[in-house]
Amino acid sequence: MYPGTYRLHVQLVAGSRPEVFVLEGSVYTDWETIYQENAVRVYRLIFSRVGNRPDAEDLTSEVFVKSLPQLSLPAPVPQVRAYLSTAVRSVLADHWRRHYGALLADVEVDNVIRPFDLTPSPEESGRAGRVLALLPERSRQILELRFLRGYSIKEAAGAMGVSPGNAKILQYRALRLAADIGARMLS
Amino acid sequence: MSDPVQRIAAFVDDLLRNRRPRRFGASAEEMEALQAAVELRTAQPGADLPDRDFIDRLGRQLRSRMEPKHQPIGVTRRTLLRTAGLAAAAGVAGAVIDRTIVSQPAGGQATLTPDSGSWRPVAALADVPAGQALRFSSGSVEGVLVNDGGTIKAVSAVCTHQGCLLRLDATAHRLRCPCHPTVFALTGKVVSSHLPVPPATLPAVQARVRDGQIEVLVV
Repeated sequence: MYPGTYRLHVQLVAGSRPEVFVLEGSVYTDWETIYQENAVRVYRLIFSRVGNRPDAEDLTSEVFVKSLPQLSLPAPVPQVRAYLSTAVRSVLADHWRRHYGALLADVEVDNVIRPFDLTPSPEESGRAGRVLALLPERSRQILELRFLRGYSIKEAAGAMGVSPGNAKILQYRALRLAADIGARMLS
Repeated sequence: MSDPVQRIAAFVDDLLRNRRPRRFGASAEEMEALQAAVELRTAQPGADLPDRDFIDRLGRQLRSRMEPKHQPIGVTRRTLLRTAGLAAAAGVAGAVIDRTIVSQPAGGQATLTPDSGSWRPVAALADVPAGQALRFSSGSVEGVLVNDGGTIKAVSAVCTHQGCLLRLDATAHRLRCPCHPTVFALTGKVVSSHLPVPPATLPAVQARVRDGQIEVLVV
């Protein structure tokens, strides 16, 4: 019988001190329940890092296809979730590295995903609104028109009284500014 | 594309139209802009909710991949044979249910066999199409009927933890305990439990079909 076996769980991570967790004995005994209880969370987490449905669906599939056969069941719920969050970090880092040459993606992903929790951290929710509020008027306007109101670049340009080319420049600069403000909020 | 402004504009267009963005080697500055765009895109309420069809489709794909190694949802011929073997090994005839449940081997299943039971109709066969399940109550026994490709099986719907009546989740093919987070498969096997010691497998209830009626052996 497996109950009682997992009261203490030691997590060993290379280069860090071993962590010991006291578990309540919650276990997953089949992969279908793992999928049903975690699929939406994994998808939403991945979407929050790629921002589009086709990539989010592909990476969500990759996480489960790779992870489920590796799990030895029954397994404690926190252990399975930690395993899934590690898989999410891995596929996201690989995605940004492979398609955009990003070398710092691991750090970016690690900063925002906490172990044992497949949801974005609470401080993240509402952060986009706070970032927009801190932007200069024109930068905030172009990003609100594009991201919140769904304007095309041409429509946004018309609303702001600039050429489409200038709207694109405004958009690029506004995104860079938003990234700077977001990074300062995290630090 | 010629410059960062154009590349980022195309990336944002793709995000806002839910298309797969074009790939390109991004500078550190462009990467910052990309990630800011992703964050703003995700801020739209509901944007990050998955398509239900995708979740279902991936579940089916995983099932076909995992089936050779793991037992699928529902009752299989192999499960029936194994269950029958374990029940026989536990000494079905005349067994006292409480003791059987306590002493059964891990994953084993007792069969409810009342001392003075009789066959009672609880549902029409037509009410339980192949692949479907239906809750029944005989007055003394609460259970679930399962049609496994034409074979009718029945299992107790009383949680083996503290006796709460289980709820049938027909879509997921699961029985869920409303008292403590415990989920049973329709075979009676515990699928997941947040209890320190997962409860025993649900007892099987003997069932048969007579004249288009499903009957169960109960008191």
